[in-house]
Amino acid sequence: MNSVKKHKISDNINLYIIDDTKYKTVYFSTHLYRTLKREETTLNSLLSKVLKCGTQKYQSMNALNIYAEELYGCIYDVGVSKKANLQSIVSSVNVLSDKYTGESCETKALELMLDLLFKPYVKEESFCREFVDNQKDNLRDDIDSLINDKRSYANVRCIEEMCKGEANSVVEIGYKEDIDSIDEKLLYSHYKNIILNSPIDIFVVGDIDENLILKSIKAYLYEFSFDIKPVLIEYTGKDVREINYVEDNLNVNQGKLAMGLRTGINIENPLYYALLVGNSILGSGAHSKLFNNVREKLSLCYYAYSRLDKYNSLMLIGSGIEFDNYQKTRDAICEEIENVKSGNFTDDELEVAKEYIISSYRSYEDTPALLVDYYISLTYTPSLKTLSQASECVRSVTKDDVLKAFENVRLDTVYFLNGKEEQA
Amino acid sequence: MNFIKKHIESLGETLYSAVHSTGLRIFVIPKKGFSKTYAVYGTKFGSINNHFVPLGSDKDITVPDGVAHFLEHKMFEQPDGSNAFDLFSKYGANANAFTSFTNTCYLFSCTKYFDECFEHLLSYVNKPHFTDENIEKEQGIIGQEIRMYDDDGEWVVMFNMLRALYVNNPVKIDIAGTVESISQINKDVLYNCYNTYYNPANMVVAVAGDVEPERIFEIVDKTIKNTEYGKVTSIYPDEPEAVCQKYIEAKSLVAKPLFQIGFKDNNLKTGSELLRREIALKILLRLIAGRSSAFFKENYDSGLINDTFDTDVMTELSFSCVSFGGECDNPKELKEKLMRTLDKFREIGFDKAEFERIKKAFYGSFVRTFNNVESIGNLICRNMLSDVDVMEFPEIYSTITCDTMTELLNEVLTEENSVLSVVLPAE
Repeated sequence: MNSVKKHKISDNINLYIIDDTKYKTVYFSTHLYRTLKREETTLNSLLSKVLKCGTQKYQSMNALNIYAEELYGCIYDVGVSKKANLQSIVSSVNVLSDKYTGESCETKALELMLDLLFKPYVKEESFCREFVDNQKDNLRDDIDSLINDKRSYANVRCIEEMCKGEANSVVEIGYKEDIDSIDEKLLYSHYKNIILNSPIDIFVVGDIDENLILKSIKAYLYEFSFDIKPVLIEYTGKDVREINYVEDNLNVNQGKLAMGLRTGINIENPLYYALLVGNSILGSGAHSKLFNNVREKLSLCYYAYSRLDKYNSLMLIGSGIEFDNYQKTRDAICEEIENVKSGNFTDDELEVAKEYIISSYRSYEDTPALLVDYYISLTYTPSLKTLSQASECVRSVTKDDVLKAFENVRLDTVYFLNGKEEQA
Repeated sequence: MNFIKKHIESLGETLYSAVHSTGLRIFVIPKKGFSKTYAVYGTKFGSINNHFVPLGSDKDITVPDGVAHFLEHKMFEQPDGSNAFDLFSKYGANANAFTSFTNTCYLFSCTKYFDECFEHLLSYVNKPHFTDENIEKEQGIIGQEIRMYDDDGEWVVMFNMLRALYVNNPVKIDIAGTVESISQINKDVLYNCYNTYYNPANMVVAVAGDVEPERIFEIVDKTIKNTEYGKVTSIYPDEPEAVCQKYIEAKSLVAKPLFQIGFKDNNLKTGSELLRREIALKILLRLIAGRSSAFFKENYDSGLINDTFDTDVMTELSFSCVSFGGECDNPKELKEKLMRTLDKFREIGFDKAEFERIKKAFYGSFVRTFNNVESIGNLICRNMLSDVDVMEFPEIYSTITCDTMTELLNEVLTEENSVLSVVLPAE
């Protein structure tokens, strides 16, 4: 398996290098971590969009796009993501390896990735007003268009209802009602407040010259006076009192069922891998009970799956069904949850689920972005395992472990996206 | 030693190709160091093949819409009542299948037990087991798949564009059919389709990963048996050059209006010329409306379009079209602006430096495809099923010039070839 090399650049700034000759590209990313807060999330989300609009060198999106094309169409982005109570602002550039271009695009791409975050286009202590206004509209569009994808809309609504008031339920994309009050000056002062005092991880994956990269990054960051306090990962999770049933009526052709469960087990819990295996037996993969029984036997749906939120001790089950089959599907899913809880699964099902998870861990190595995502979780949860250690943990899970892990699994919220009265 | 080797130095890749005695074409791209191996086994049977002469008959038949996709689902049914996924799961492999307008493909990726999985792929796709009972069960599952797409505004706006572009071509028919049309499918229909189209000479298998080509050939040789196969005769209706309707509108639960501006390309190509046209059209669309274009800048800055704006090219043996789409509050205004931009290019031509830059970026995206075993397998399989050797890319790419752009602009992106499809937000 790939090894990752860690270099400390300065306090709370680390560089991680995964050197592998098999890729055609070099993938660079920088992750700046903030504590997820309702009052800050929209600012960070909008900031990530505005940072994409121009750097000191390339002062418009158009100029950036032209430059990216010159680098054989490198793909650059700035966005936000969330893990537990951490919101990160991520700039990334994916560029063809110099081996395939015969030009030196790699170092230019590295500089571009750093510029996007550290040297944005700024005029008189402010971001450019047109950029900010335009991106405020785009962010509103992004938030509104969540409804376009009904499957994820139902999932988001389920979690929203389930985790009302919990710190980690704040969404990383931000809130529409918080956009109006932000202007170019406020956004820039927020940027100034966070850029030098937030922990930073830099990742480089590809066939690269490690020393050169290390030297370039150190030289680049030398001019900035960082003063960074670490942020700590915190998990939430609470007990279920009674099951909460929520229904929305919208103009849709298919009902979307989303069931939220509390697992009581986060990624640092020793039972996490047993929970993962149980979740796969239940609803992750074509071997799972939801696929084979709810879809194949009962023919109720095209998809039915379960997945875990490893930070917030949640499990989410989703399916798309006829409106009239709501009760029937819900009962069928509950029956499968009970089957896993009561050990009503074969050794074969257990082994297949384990093989499935281990195989997906192995396949992370072929995709730089997935590798980086995995190693980021590692940097914030030191007790966490490398991919091969994690595979070993999965391998050693027994049926009893699954039963122990599932003891705590409780249904919390049932959300149903139903049609409007005349359709339903 | 059955393979022909083609090494492309600039890409650092080698394609191994062979034809098995059954006529099955085999393609392998070895990828040293990759954990995952991907295999895809495809047949030239897609949603557009709804009219054909069945094997052993001299009379043509028309089959219900959505039959290729239905058959794809039913291939997973095994004679012993289990399903083909089970064995893949046992090996920790991820299996799936998909049906497009022109092909049906069965695939898996795995990180261990490749030989076993590969043999299973070839053997289950060669063992149909259709019963009336398992067909009825599938109607419920696919019925929900169809409903899911009914709620997908992007799918609706794209299909409506095809309906506006085409008068008769079956590309305008939904790949999965309708709840009504799939209710007419029975086992005789499925066997008729299967026996006609699932014939090794009509199929391709592509593998990408850390594998030995010779081993792939051995497994094919041991699994695929020689039988008598007939020639496949698909019948396509005549398609007039003119579009079907200029404007089409629907409503769906979406936040902002969605649009697709489509252009019908009546000049159908085969072989290297088909690949050349696909590459050239993709470069042309980026040149006109890509992220660095004046058109994109103007309309993005004014807020008429947003980050969802994108272009698409569909070039196949039996149909060809291109499109510009995304979210927009005023799609009619945007289409007028696009048409004016096209006229301007007709007048003043393209900037040569800009063309070279976009061409370079496009080359980058081609090389990038080879970073991922799934993308490689799908690229090879899709092209080879259309009898296109995609590894000719570097040579063909180098023959595309700024003049090619002007020719295509005048030939394809004209007012009479254009349609507008809009999905408005439903209440």
